[in-house]
Amino acid sequence: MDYRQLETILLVEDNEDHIEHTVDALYEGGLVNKIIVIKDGKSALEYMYRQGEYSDPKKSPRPCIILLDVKLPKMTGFEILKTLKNDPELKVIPIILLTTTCNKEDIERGARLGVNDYIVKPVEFDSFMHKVKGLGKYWALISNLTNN
Amino acid sequence: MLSEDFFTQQTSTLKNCMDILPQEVVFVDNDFTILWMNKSKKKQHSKLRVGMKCFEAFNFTAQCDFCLASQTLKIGSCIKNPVCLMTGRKKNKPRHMNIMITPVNLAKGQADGYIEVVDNVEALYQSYNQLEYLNREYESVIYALSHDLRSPLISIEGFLRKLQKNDQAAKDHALFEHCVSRIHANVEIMNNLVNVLLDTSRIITGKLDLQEVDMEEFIKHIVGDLHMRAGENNTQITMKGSFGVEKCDKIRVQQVFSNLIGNALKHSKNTNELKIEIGCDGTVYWVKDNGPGMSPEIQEKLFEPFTQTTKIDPNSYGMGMNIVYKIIQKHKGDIWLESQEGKGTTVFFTLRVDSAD
Repeated sequence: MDYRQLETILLVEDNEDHIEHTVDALYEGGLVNKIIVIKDGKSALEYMYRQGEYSDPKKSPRPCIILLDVKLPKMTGFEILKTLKNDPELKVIPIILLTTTCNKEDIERGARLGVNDYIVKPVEFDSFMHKVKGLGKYWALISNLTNN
Repeated sequence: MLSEDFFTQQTSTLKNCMDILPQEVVFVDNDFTILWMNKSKKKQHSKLRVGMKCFEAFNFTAQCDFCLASQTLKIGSCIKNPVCLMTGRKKNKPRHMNIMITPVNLAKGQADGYIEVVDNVEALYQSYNQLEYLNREYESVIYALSHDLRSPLISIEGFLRKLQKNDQAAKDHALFEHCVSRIHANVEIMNNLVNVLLDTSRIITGKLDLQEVDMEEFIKHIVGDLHMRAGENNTQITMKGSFGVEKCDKIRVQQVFSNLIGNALKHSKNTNELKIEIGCDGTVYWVKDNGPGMSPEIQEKLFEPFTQTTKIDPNSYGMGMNIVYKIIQKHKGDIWLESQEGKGTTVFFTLRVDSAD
């Protein structure tokens, strides 16, 4: 399989344990996509705007989907969401907000800022794929599922 | 037939009843002359006398523009209104009250007048405000707890699943060690958070251990403790002004200075030549830094619990400034700040311990 053709998933999360569990869940489910992990809000925007260490498009491909934690160092998930959803070019990239609770205020705030969906942590493969399906990205990812 | 004595007796009984009411009751003629008032009214307005015009009590020469009584007389029916008057010499003390004015015929052949009943609800209003504040605080604590306690729980759950699922876990010592050590670390995170909450609760419910403290020596000692931390960052900590002897809870006030100086250090890691000044002008203490400052949005929420808008320190829960606020509040003092983005922050506070518990 040519991995260069695979769509990239961007995971913006600062909690090392949550990163480990999310990546485990997606790979154990069978995804073979590249998951790029960014651990703070400011770097996430630098990645999306290809600034600084992320200036090479080959090394920093545009993700087909962004998994975004709410509480992040340097810039909150909501601030990133607002910036990306106000950008005419980047707003098409679906963003799934990761929350620790199904708090109504967070969900409503995310919705107002244009979030595409949300997942209450822990991220599980089935719930992730269910959301992805709803976002029309299912086939982009499913075609890359391994056979195991 | 009822005699005049009967009515005199009834009136007297009625006046006695009104004298024991906590509400202020006053009978006024329709030219605003005071005819009678109960004890509560006399106590509240010592300058008010029977025979004088009611508006004279407020140093007016004619009826007030906002007079509810003249409206009552005009429309001939009862008016009930919540009112807030600024009282005191400097007119800076709010007094919330409910006023009810009823038009009456005071006696046969006399002109119409009115009865004014004033219910002082200031204490109730203050309690309501306090309750609203506590409710807001309670909600934000619950909100933050649901996030911050669930986060390590999610981690623990994940590692337990990993141990349970992975057949190799029993054989793979490194994997087993990794999972167990992360579970321990997350239990510690939860434990620390619970301790922070318990500490906050102790400040609210506990009593202050008051003692006379030589503030200059005391602050020198705190600065000495923080010197190691400050040294890492090429930071200068100086003292300015006159520090006297203050009656306070030494441990709690140490917590205030440590949190304020600690915050200045934590948020100014990118500031070259950070300068922290601890000062006192005899009444007001301050901790000033030339760090990055705060946006108005952050300033507004600074003293609320769990107010980290972004995470700088993974071991911090955003409770530090709330704890500072509660300690100052417990010492009957005030706390406020001046901050400008890019220019630094100064936090001021007072300790009015003489009136504290």
